[in-house]
Amino acid sequence: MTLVSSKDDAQELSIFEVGEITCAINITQIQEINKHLEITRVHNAPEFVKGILNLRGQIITIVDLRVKFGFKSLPLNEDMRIIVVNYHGERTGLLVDKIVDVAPAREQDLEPPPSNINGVAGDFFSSIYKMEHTLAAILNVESILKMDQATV
Amino acid sequence: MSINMDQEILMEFIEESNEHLDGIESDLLLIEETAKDLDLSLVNKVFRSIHSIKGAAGFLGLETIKNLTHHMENLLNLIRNSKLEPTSAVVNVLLTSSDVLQNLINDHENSNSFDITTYVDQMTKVVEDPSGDAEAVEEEAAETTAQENAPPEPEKAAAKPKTTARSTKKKTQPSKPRAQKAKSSKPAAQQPAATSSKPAPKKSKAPAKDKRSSTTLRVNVTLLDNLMTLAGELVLTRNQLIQAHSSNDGADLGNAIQRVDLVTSELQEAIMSTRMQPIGNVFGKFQRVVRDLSRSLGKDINLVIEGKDVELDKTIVEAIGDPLTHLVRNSCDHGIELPDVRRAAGKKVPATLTLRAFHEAGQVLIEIEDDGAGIDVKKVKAKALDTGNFDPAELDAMPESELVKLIFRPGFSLAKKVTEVSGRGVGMDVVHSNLTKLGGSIDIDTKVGVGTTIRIKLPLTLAIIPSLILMVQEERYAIPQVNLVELVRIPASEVKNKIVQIDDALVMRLRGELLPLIQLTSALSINKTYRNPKDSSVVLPDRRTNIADRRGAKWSSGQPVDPEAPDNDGRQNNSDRRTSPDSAYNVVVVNAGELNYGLIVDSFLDSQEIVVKPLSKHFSGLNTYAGATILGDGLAALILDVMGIRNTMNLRMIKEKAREVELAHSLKHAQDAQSLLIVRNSPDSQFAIPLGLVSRIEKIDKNDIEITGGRQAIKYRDTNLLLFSIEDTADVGKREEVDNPYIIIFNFKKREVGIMVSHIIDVIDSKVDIDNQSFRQPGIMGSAIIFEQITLLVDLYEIIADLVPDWLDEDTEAVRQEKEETTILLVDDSPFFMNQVKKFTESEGYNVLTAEDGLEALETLQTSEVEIDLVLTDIEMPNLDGYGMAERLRNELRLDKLPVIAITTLAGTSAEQKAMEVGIDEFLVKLDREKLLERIQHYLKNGRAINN
Repeated sequence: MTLVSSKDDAQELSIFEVGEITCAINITQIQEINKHLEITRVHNAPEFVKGILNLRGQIITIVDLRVKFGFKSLPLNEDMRIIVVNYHGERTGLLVDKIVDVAPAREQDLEPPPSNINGVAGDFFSSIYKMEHTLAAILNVESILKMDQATV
Repeated sequence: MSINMDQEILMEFIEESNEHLDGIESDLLLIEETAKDLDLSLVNKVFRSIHSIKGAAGFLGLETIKNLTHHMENLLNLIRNSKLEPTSAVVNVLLTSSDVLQNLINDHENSNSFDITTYVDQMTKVVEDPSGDAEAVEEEAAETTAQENAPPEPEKAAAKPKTTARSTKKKTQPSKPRAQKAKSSKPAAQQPAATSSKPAPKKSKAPAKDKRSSTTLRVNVTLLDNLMTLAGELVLTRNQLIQAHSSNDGADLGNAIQRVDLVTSELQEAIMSTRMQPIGNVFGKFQRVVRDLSRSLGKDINLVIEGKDVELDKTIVEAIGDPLTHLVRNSCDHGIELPDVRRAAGKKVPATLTLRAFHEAGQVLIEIEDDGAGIDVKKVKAKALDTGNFDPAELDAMPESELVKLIFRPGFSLAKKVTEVSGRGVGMDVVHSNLTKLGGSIDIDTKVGVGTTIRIKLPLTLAIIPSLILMVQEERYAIPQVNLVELVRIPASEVKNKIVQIDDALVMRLRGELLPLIQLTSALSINKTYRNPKDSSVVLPDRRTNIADRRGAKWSSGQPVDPEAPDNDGRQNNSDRRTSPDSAYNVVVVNAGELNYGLIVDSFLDSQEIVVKPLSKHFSGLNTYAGATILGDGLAALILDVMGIRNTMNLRMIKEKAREVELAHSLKHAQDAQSLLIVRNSPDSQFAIPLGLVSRIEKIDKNDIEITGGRQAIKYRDTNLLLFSIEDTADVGKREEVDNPYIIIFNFKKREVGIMVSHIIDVIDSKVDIDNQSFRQPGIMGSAIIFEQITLLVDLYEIIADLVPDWLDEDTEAVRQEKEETTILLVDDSPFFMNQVKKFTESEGYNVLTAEDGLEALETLQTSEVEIDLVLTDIEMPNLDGYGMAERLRNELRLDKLPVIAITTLAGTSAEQKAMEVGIDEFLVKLDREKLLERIQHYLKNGRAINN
């Protein structure tokens, strides 16, 4: 892969998998990626909320992206990771199936998302990044977490 | 960059100015109060504050603010030079100006376009003509506003009314409070219509205040130094830990860990104390509120503030401001009468409103006490019926104390008309819910014609709360200790008797009361599973939908089914798995407002101090949780919200149904029953202690017992608790030594004492025959056969009276003074109960006469030489029962003022209703000592509720 010439239009993406789709998040949006998964269930909560987690003294909510995208929730396993993002001053964890890679992306490789990706509503994504073998859908954290409130 | 800088300076300016303004208000009020004997340094202080604001405003180009402050300065200067007397009219002008100033500062961006001519004009008038009548200035302004009901226009500007028309909302808002105040300087009687027709712009000041709360905090420097030292200490200890770890020295490691323990708890305490703020911060603003209110209402109210220095957590101090304001406004508006009315009633003018804060039992109590008209319970009741939301029978069954609390229901207002101060029926419910959210509670004590006291109980801090950790379906939950009433374990063999199903709801019978019962799993919609009894690793879904299935007495729509009848499928046999110890129920009895209920859980873990963490907004729709916390192992756990669960599960309904069923039950089993605590000191000496007398039971370590002055004692909750044994007085076998004896704690003449026993066996609800002859001896009131064993009934009071006769004498002297002429007539046909109640009422210092039935009681009432102040009576009695006695007492003896309390095993709405009809004031279930004493005191203090 060629070096990115101009820093301004390049961003680094963390690539991960949720169900059947490959997703990505700009790493500047990620606070940390965590593998401890001692999640406490919250009964009566919306289905996409996997539970809560103690992150160094702060309680954060874990959103199960699988459920959010309409896949079946899976029991926790070794590959799963929690991507902690900061959304309106509140930290929230996104549970993903596995982290794949970190890749640089240039502005011109990004395309607007189709109306749905493998059956998942396009609203959840801000753009599509074309990789060598596959496409990565870049998450729109805002719309994923904002819709949460609407559905509560 | 420069914008940021400006922004920073601006923020600083706002913060600083607000601090100045906070002080100014109270100082101005003080100036007004001491006008005759003016303290010039006070005026100087206000002057300096205004001057600083002026300086900074000029620097920042806030011309309007500068202009306003400049005129305020002029006025203050006159006062300072004794050229102007700070009459209340003058102070009023200053106060309104400082209100406007506050608004300007908080909205500094638009401040320059703000029209302040009115205020400037008022001030100039006063300044130009210091000897002139300042009130005239105000009245002019007042009239303008009263007529137009619009932002005040100064006389000079009246020619260009366009200013008014252009007034934006922002402009009108700050002017309104001023308009009211100006008006208020005139006697309110002259403009009552204007006062009431105008909706109050209550919120105009509030949002501004909210904005500046909680961003910064003032902390004492010594406290900060202390924190620094502790932080240093922590670093040192960390180094020690690392060293000990690398050198692998066990002893060093132990030391270091001990230090960490110490330092952390000290650090925690120190940090907590930075959050503590004196309640005076909130109380302070009420001087102004009450002053303004009394003027606008035409009332004369003297505000007394006590306990300003009581400290509370910052969040609580901030949050109670609004509820308190509401309560104070209510007291002023509804509670306190107009001066004429007061004079006519022979009450003193000015009226007194007392705001009081003090510590009690680890909580802070705030009292708002007025000597006004009181709340008329009858009116509350009538109003409640009016709203149509209440069942008349339900209302009739409610004791007075509950009825008064109806004013906390949404949409409930007793005000005859809506005024700007209160009466819209929103508010009290908000007050209530806000306080509940803070973990506080509210109580009303009121007497018509005498006054009302509203009592608020608040926790000291919200951040760390002692809680019980419990387990259900392998998950842990916390319940705050303040919500806990007791923990009950129902053994499998008792489930049948104790748990009853009414339609689809469960209730638990506990000491003569029925409590709604819910499975925590169903409240949280957890799918229940159980472990296969043969192979515990197999977890199966629990298909049992109802725990009362086949085991409890069944009720279908209130109709009892004979619980003894075997089920058709014959499952009720001894080999039933569900009677094994595993199927015992653990119930947490919690208190949610006026209702107690039980939660069935799998197990209780332990009691922990937990740190409350908020839940994210994803859970905003959930009201079953109050927050989350982190347990010792680092995992998150949820904190249960007992109020929320109560509401979700709709427990009120169950409670109502339960009353009806209990009525049916108690009619069938009407007999003297009481809960007895069964204890043993050795295998062959078994004792019973009436549970109603026991405050608490604690398990102790025998090594903690100290012997001082020949007496045994233990340190308990910061005091020395004296310990006694039954054999100290009674001639019974010696107590078996055990490592962890239990102490049974009860009150004797307002002192707590403990009786040591070796084993706790059980608590039974017995209807046993008590033989008070055969085994009667000091300390033993009688005997009964319980669990096929002779059981001695312990007389706790006699033991203490025998062992510490000093207390008896010394106390009666003091108590005699206090309760000199209080005589209680106790009517009961059961010698056992009679004895019990007599003992503890006498121990409280009351004079007690007894009668064995209604007839004898009536005779005593007529012939007694001393005046009888209160009657305590059983209902079921030979010759003449409690109802009959009460009826004749009211109708034939004309004892209208004599309070009558029934203590009985009968319960239920209709029994209570009947009691109320014949003139019984209160219905208490046998035998809750604390409750009974509390009610006795209540009636002795307040007399009967108005009943005519």
